[in-house]
Amino acid sequence: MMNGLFHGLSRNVIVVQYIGLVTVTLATLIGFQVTFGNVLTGANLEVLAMNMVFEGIMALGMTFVIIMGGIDLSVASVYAFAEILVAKLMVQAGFPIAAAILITLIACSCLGALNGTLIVLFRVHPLIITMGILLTLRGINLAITDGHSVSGFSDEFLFLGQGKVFGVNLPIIFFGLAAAILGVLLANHRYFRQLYFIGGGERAARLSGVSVSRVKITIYMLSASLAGCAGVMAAAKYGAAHWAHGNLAELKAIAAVAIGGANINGGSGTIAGTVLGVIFLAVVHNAFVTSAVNPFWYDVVSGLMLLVAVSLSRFIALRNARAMLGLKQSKMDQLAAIHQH
Amino acid sequence: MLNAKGVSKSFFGNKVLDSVNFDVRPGEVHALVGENGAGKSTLINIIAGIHRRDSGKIVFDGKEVDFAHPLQAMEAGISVVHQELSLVPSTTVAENIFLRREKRNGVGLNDWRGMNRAATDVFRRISIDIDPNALAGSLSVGMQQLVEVAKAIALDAKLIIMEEPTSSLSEKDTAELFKVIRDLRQQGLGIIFVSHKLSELFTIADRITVLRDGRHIATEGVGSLTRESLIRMMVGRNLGNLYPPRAAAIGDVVFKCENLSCFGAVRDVNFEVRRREIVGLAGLVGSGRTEAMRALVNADKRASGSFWLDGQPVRIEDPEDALAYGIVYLSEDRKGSGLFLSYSIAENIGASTFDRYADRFGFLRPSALRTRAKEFIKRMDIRPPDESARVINLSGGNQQKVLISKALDVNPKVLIVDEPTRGVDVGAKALIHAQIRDLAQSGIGVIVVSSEMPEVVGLSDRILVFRNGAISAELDNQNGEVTQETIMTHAVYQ
Repeated sequence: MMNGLFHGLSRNVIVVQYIGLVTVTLATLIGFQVTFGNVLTGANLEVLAMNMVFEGIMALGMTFVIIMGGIDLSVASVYAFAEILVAKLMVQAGFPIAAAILITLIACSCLGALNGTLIVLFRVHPLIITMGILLTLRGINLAITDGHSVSGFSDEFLFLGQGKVFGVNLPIIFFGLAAAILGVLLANHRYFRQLYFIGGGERAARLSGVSVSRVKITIYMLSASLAGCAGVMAAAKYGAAHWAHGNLAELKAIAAVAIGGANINGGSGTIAGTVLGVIFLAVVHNAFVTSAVNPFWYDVVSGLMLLVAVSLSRFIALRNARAMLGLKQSKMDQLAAIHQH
Repeated sequence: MLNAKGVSKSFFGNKVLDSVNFDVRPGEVHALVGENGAGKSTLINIIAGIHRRDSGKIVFDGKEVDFAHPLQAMEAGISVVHQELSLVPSTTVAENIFLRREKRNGVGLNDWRGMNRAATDVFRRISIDIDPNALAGSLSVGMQQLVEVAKAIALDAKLIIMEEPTSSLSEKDTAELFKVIRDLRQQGLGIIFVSHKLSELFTIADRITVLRDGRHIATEGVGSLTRESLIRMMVGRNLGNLYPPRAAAIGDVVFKCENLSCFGAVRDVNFEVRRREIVGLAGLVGSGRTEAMRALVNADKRASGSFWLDGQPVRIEDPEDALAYGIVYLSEDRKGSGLFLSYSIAENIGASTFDRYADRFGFLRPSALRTRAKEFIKRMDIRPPDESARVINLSGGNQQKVLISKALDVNPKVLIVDEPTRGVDVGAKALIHAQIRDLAQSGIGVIVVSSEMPEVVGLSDRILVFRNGAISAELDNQNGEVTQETIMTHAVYQ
């Protein structure tokens, strides 16, 4: 009886958090629409979605990494590296589009493998390793381009970032499809379910026969590959590759995952939560930017958004804990009343 | 079914197992006992494939085995239920049971319904009722322990090793676990049972093997052993009376608590503690005894409560306030919230009293701290007697002594100790009990919270029994005549 009670409740905690997130997102959207009247227009919605879509794709990979108790700061420079590499391969080396993209994605997944291998080998916190890769790779990006941007893409390539299918931008379709597929796999596939066990207790997972090192390396590869996909599409969207693209994208991706309810220490999180987190960030950000006068407030808004979102999820969690205690209290009172006589 | 002969193992030139013999028959519960460091864990880890032996021979199921990895042992039919729970709270019970052996549907995704059904079958086999679709984190510790057992059974284990399975279970959950163990024994499984709680061994074990300092001391049927003979074999000497004598003269009231409540955990608790008195708090896990003490120092926010120290009303807004008044609460989770594991003994002892070891410019005087630490090491018999030793390298008993020293350095008037001897071996246990009695004797009011009833009965002058968040009985134990049965009748609703 007791078990059933808490079982239902602890699942509801997650659901309530999602509902809260959706409510606040909708409220912001409607609130700004009523006040400024320029939010819910087709053009703005496109801007809104495209603004966060690349960080969103990175956030999908980041969800996997964070659930298994890791973190991947390097995605931002992997993203810029993918832009530059795919651009150079096509523009300077004359590779066909498909080959250039393939080579770029392979290179990115190798970078992920490097992250994973170093983390497993040195047993150093992933924060440090991936920060090392982030900084090193950013330096490489700068050095190999001399600080200039690379451009001159074919129209076919530009379609990947700017084209639309059924009126929806291709990167957004990619994000939606990737989220759906990865979401189903994360929720139901035995390989990805192992992440929860690694994040929940690495030693226990190892003793239960999970090959922790192998899983870790492959997940960092997944994260880097997704960042690579984002980078390729970003090059196409902007029509140019630049080393400074994606600066701080890693933090936005992490923020989206955290807002989506994942525990930053590992063991919990879902793709649905991350998608909600991405949408929330995109909406709040867009709302502020379309209404604010001075674009220099951009970063202030980003930072505050994270703080507000995290306090919100904390508030919801506290309220749920309180509700749980309330149930316990009423059970206790009932028991005491029954045995009064 | 398992026969280990002459098993030896050294770590860094240190011989921790010295040609030990050990065997398990089908349908038997074989208890493995010994003090911390006697070699129990090493032997078990070798049997389960976590460590490899240096020499000796192990035959399991008629074949000689030498497992290189726990997976191999699992495949052969040996499962370990580790002391620390390994379930992942945010995943379901069924998923935890079938980790790495998930049932799949046509497209290779997890077949949740099939796994739930299979889990229900396993639960039915050991006659327990747990919803396989519940999140593991929503189960009580006792239920989680049973899920761990179910996990071993689902692996088709023939031999199940249980490491201190009852160390955090209530009496009720322990009874449930024992029922399951008896069931398994009936079904012909072999069970290796490791525990520090001697009374349990006599309830559940068929044979007992004693290890001491890495050597095999004896293997005997439980009928030919007594508590005393078992302890003698474990520590290699007579311990004398297990519990220290009671207080000669109890003093006046030092601390009074009125109307203490904590939402969802504690209802209107009132009690007093006198000088030179040990008050034991008994009750089932979740009955509110630990919760009341946490609410007292406001570690968990309380709803109400008034306190008097030496007759003066005091305001306790957080554990720091309590400390300033000389009311010290030692948490049951000594590694998580009591000690700084990677720091030295001296640094731990001075952790609450750093100011005292600083000069007037605020610079720490390490020599003063070291001198003080040496005093405590001598007084509490902490081993190794080296104030710069890191606490992480100490045994559980010695860690507990460091924790108590840290509390004493505050010069407490009231000391609250939660589970003072959890995971501590018999030798260190007796010492800690004696120290607690000494502290009380020196004029401190002591409150001991414990889920081990023999400890509450043996140590306390007065016993408060908790039930459903409130005190259900106050029992005078001055002459040690309170029985465990009396406590039990007040701990549960009749």
